[in-house]
Amino acid sequence: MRNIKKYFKIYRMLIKLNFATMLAYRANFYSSFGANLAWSLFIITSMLLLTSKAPNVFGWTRDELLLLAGMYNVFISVFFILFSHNFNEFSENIHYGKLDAVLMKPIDSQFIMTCLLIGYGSAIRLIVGLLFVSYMLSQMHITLSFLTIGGFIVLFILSLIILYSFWFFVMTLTLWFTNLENLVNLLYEINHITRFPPEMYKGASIFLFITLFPLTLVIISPAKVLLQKILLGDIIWPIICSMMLFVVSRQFWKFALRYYTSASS
Amino acid sequence: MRYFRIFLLHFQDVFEQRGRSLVWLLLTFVGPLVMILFWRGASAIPDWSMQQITSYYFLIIILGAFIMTHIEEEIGRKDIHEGQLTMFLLKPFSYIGMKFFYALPNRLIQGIFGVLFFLILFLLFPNMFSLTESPLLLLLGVFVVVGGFFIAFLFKMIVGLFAFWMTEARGLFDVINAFLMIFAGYLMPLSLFPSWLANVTYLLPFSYMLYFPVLAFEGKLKIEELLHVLGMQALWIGLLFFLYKIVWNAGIKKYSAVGQ
Repeated sequence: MRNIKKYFKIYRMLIKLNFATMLAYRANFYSSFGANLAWSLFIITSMLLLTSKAPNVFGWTRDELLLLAGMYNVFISVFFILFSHNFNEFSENIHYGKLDAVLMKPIDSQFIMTCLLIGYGSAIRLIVGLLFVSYMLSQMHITLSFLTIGGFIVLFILSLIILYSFWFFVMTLTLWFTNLENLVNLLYEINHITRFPPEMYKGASIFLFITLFPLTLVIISPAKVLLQKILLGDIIWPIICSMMLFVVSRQFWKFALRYYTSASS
Repeated sequence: MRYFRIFLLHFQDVFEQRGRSLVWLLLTFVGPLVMILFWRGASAIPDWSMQQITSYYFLIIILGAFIMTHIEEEIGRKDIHEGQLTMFLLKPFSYIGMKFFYALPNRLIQGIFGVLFFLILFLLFPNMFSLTESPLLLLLGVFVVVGGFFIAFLFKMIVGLFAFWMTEARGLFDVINAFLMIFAGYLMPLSLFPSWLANVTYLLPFSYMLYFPVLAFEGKLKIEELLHVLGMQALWIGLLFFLYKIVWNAGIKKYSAVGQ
């Protein structure tokens, strides 16, 4: 319990420090703000264009697919605010031996490597996403109860754990392949898998579906709560996958650290 | 000959980092493969069969690997912001010429990976693809690909040079990439856009970078249409080169570097 309190205290401090950094380097913030705005609009526009010729895909209606696009913006913006900037620096920290300093500190190395930086620029994407989801819900005449909102928040957090653990597992590979700093770009691209109906992958190949299964839960499970189409499996699988992936990725990191050889002479 | 030496030197550099090149190529696979799966769920696609759609996205991967350079990041970050441009300015070569022969090996290596991947798939699933069988159309298609590469290269050069006026240009590069995803044809065939939007995109240079080269290889363009595309490409190459000169001349006056 004391440990948790300590990390909350550190994270509060990090929030303040990152905010100060944002104010000091405003050009970076504006740049990130612009990029996030462009991508949030791209996600919505692309789904509008795709569904203009395919209004029903694997049983998902146009409105439902657009809701998924809005949900993707909301979810991915939170992930970007909390974690993605840290993963951008991940391989560089290893390649240039900065991990030495991380390992010397009396703080968990996973925490420093993945939670140090906060990307405030992605807040615009969160706003665009929330506005679009609210608009789609009103278009679909869906009203939300407290129970629905509660369920949504729980599944949203589980989904964050799934995606975080998946990214952390993959980026840990850079401890061996230090020059593959573009692995993070591949992960950004893989994120797009989550914004489409999971039936797409099931229909293609059962192997593909099983491989991508945890990622297909990320947007769909919370979205199904909003659409009031939630089934028992949509609750149980995220719980199992998030716990399993988190434990596996953490153990993998600890195992990989044994092979870290630093970069100094 | 001296430019060819630059090409060879950079080719060695890129080949040494083939692991990274492979990851870049894998990255380009994800989007098109997801799109193929998406269209499989659609009941009908106007004017396109599923075989043609599948070929379209595979050609997007391969020709995209050949055509779509990402040189703007290096120009903005390393050359302009970190000051490596000074090194280029002191050499007896033109900056654009050097950059061209830096970009070319990357495209060739990734393109070769792409072709190998395509050949494997083609041998395994020959019925999945629809390509033109006419040698003349194929030959003209090669010219359209070369034209697409020049347009993409000049466009990305101009975008990179905007870093002269910006402290941080990555946001702009991201905006441009989002724009290209839609208007170069990565997302879906432009003919499936609402007709007014499709007509607008045919006037812009982006469709001539990738969309028309893909259509050329699919055999969806007749000879006269291909010649029209080649004409439009020549026009855009001329316009973009002119624009590059203006931006370069204005930008270089703002450039300053600090040595140690």
